[in-house]
Amino acid sequence: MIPSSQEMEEELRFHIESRAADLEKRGRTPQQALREARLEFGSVPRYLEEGRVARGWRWRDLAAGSFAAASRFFHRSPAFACVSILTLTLGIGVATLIASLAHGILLAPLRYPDADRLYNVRIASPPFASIHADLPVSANHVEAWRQQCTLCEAITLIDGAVYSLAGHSARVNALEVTPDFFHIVGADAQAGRTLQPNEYGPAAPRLALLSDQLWRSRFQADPRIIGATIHLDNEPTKIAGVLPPTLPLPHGEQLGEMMHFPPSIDLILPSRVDAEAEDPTHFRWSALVKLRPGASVAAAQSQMDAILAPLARSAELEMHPKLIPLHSQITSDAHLPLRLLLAAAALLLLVVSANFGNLQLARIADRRKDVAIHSALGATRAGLLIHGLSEPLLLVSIGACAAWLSAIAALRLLTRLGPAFLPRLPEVSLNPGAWVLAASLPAVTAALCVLIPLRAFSRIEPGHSLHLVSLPGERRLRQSLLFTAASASVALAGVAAILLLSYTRLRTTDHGFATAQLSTLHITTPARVTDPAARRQQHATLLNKLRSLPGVHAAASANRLPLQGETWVNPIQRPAARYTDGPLGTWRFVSNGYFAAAGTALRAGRDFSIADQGQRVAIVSERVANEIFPGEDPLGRLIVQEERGSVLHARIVGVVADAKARHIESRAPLMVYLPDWQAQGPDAFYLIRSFGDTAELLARIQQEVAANGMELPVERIASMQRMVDNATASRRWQTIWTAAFALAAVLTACLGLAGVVAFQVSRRVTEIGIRMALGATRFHTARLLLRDSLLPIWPGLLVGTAFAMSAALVLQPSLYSVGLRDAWVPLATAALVALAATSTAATAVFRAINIEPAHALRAE
Amino acid sequence: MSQAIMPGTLDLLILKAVSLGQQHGYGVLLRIEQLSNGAWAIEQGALYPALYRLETKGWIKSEWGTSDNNRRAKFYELTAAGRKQLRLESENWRRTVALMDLALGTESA
Repeated sequence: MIPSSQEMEEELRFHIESRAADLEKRGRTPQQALREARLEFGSVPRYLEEGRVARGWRWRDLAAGSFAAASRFFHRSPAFACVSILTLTLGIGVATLIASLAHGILLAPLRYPDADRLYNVRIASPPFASIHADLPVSANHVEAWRQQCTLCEAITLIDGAVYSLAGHSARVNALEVTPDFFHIVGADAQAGRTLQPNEYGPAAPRLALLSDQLWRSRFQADPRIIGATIHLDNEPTKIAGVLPPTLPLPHGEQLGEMMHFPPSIDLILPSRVDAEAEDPTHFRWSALVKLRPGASVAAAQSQMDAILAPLARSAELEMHPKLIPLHSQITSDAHLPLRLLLAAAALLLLVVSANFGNLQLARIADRRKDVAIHSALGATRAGLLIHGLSEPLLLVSIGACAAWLSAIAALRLLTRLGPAFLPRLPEVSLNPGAWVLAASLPAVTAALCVLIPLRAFSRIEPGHSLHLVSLPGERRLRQSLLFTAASASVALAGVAAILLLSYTRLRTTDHGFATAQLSTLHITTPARVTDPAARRQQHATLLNKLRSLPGVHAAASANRLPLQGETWVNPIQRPAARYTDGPLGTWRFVSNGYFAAAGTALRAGRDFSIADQGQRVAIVSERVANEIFPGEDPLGRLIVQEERGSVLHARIVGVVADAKARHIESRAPLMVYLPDWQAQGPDAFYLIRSFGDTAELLARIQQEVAANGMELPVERIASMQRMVDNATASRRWQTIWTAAFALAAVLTACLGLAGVVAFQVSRRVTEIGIRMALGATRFHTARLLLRDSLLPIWPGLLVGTAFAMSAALVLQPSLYSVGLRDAWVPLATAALVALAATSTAATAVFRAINIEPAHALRAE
Repeated sequence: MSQAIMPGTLDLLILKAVSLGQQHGYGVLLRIEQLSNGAWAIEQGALYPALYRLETKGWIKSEWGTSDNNRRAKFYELTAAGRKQLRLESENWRRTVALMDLALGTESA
C-alpha cells in the first residue's frame, strides 16, 4: 500500500522516536537522545519531499493538503473565505449562464434537420417601406411558389388561431399549416400520423395533431385518442396524431412583424385557406421555405421574385420576396441584449478574478517567512508551489461547483419565466466549456499571483529571503490587479448607468396614452352575427352598460389600442393631390370618449359626438396637423378617406397628441382617427378607466359581456400597464441584469480594495508606529497610506470611463433617447465609484491605524 | 570508523535486509548496520525515499502493525518480484565485483 503524506510523517516520527529510545538506553538524557536522533535522521521536510517524489505525485496529497490549508484558512478568517467563495460563485455563475445562453441561442444550429436550408419568407414592398421593412406573405404567393419554384424543396404557410375546445375551460392555441410543414420542421407524429399532401385547403377534412402537453394534460396520454373526434369551436375535428414533446415552434414575433404567435401551441391543424383565391395583397401569413441542397439563396429569391411578378402586376403593388435565414430571423432580437450581457458578465468575472488574485497575493506575501523557512529546510520548489496553489484552487473549485448549481437553478427559472427577447430558451443547456473557461480565469489569475512571486522568491538565498519586506514583483502585480478591478467595474457601472437612463426615459416619457387604472378588454361578437350593423349595435349596447357600472370612470372602444400595431395603413393627404401621393399613416376607428379614456390629450377642436353620426368626420394627430397642414389650422379642413375602393372626404374636427401605435421606442406615426360607427368588425378593444377593486369590477364586466351574448376569456383582459411592461420587457431585463452585474462588480471591487488596504496597513504597522512615535498625526499617516493604496485606482477609473463612453457611443443607436448630451453619466458614475473606493479605503485605513504607537512597535 | 555506502547500493541492501523477515523502517536500518557490522553509515532519512521507491516498483510491500514497544509502525516484506530482483542484483553485484577484481588485479593477491 503506497503511503499518504500523513502516513509518511507518522513513519518518520516513529523512526526518530525509536532511535531516541535506543540512544536513551545507551545513557543519553531524553533531550540529548532526541536531538541526536534528529541529527542522524537529517532534514524531515527534505525526506518527506523526496519520499513523495519517490512514490510519485498524487492527487490525494493535493486534496488532503488543500483541505488542511483551506480548513485552516476558514478557521482563521471565515468572513474572508465566505466572501471569496461568494464572489467566485457569482462571477463564474453569471459568466457560465450568460455564455451558455449566448451559445445556445445565437450559435447553436436550430433543432430542425438541415436547418441551414430553412428560410423565413417575407415581402418587401417599397410603398410600405416607411412603415414596415417587410411584411408577411399572402397565402396566394405561397401557392404560386409551391407550384412553380423548382429551387424550393418544400414550402409551408403558417398562421395562428385560437379555438375553444369543447369541455376545456381555457382556449387552445393552434397553428394552421400546410402539409410541407412537417417535412420542414422534421417532425413525425409520436402517435398517429401527420398530414397528407392533399389534406389542406377549403375542402379538406377537419383534422388535428395534439401537442404532447395537451395530449397528457387533457387526454391522459391515452393512445386510443387517435382517430377520435373533438370539437373545436363546436366543429367536429378528427385527431390524426400527437406531436413529439420537444418540437420548437415559433412564438411571439419570431417570424417577423405583424405575425404574433402565442407562447405555447396546443394543436396543429391543416390550413383551410383557399390559397389560389386569396388576395395577393392580403399580407397575413408566415411562410417557411426549405431550399433544395445546393440552391443558392440569391437564385431562389430571384426565381421566387419572377413567380411573384405577375401577381404583383395584377395587384398594382410592387413587392418582392425576401428570404431571411430562419436562424437569424428567430435570433435577431436577442443579438444585442445577449452580447451586451455577455460583455457585462465578462467584466464582472474580470473584477472577481482580479480581486481573488489580489487576495491570494496578499496571503502568499503574508506567509513569505513560512515560505522562506520551508525552502531553507529543503522543501522543493514544486512542493512550495503545490502548497501555495492548493488554497486558491480549492476555493475556485468550491466557487465553481456552487456556480454550476446556481446557474442551473437560474436557467430553470429563466426558462419558466420565458422572457420574450430570449428565443429558444427550452433548447438552452448549461455549457460545460463555458463553465470551465469561466472558472479558469480566477484560477489562472490566482495561480499567477502565487507563481510569479514564488518563482522569483525561490531564486533568492534563504538567509536573505527571510528579511524581505515584500515578495519580488508583488507590488507591480498588486497594482495591475487593482487597476484591472477599478477599470472593469467603472466601465460596467458606466454602461449600466447609461442603460438605466435610457430605460427611465422610456418609462417616464409621455407616449401619448396613460396607463394608470386602465384595463383593456378584447371582445368579439359571436361568429353567427355577420351583419356589421348588428355587431355595431351589440358593441354600442355593451359600451353603454360598461359605462354605467359603479367604479367605471371612463370607457371607450377602438379597433386597435396603442402598441397593438396597425390594422389600416393608408395614405394621408388633402383632397387636391392624386390619391396614394400622401405619406402612409395609421388609421383607427374609435368610439367617442376614447381620448379621455386613453389619456390622449386633445390639442384643438373636439372629440366625436353622437351628433356627428351620418357625417364624415375625422380627428388627426399633431404630426398630421404639422406635416399635412403646415402653418395652417387643420380644423374644418378635409382629408381624403378611402372606403371599399371609393375616395371620400372627411372633415377634421379635432387634433390630439401623437400616440405610439406599434413600437414604444419608435416615433409615433401619422394617425387619423375615424368614428367607430363607420366600420365595425367582430373584434373591439375596450379601455376601462376605473377606481376601486379591479378584480371585482372585472368580474362584473364579464357578467355584462356574457349577458350581452358575447365572450370575454380571461386571457383577453390586460392592464395597459402590463402592455407597456411587455413592450419594454427586453430593455428592462437588459437594464436590470447589467445594473445588477455592475453593482456586484463595484461591491466586489470595493471589498477587494478594503482587503488590500487593510493588509497593506497591517504589514506597515511598524513603520506606522515609528512615524507616529516621531510625531506624525493620525491624519497625515492615513493620508500617506491612502495615497499609496489608491494610486493604481485613478488610471483605472480613467480607462473604465473611457471604455464606458465608447460603449455608449456604440450602443447609442439602439438606446432610447440617449445622446451626446448624456456623456456626463459615465463621468458621474466614475465619480461615484471613486467616492465609494476612497471611503472604503479610508475606513479601512482609519480602522487599522487606530493603534497606540508603542503597541505598533511591539507588533514585530 | 563508519564509511558512506556506495551510491546505488542502498536499494540492494534494503532488499537484502527485508528478505530476512518482516521489518519496520527503523528495523531495516538496524539490520543494515548489523549486516555491515556498523561499518556503513547512511543518513537515516534517506532510507525512506528508497523504501517508497522499491514499494512503487512492487519489490516490497508494506502493512501497518504493532512494534515491539506496542506502537503503530509500518512493516515491510519482500514480494515474489522482490525476491527475484534480489537474486538478479546479487548476481550482478558478484559479477561486477569479480570483474572489478579482475581488472584491478587483486584476485591473485
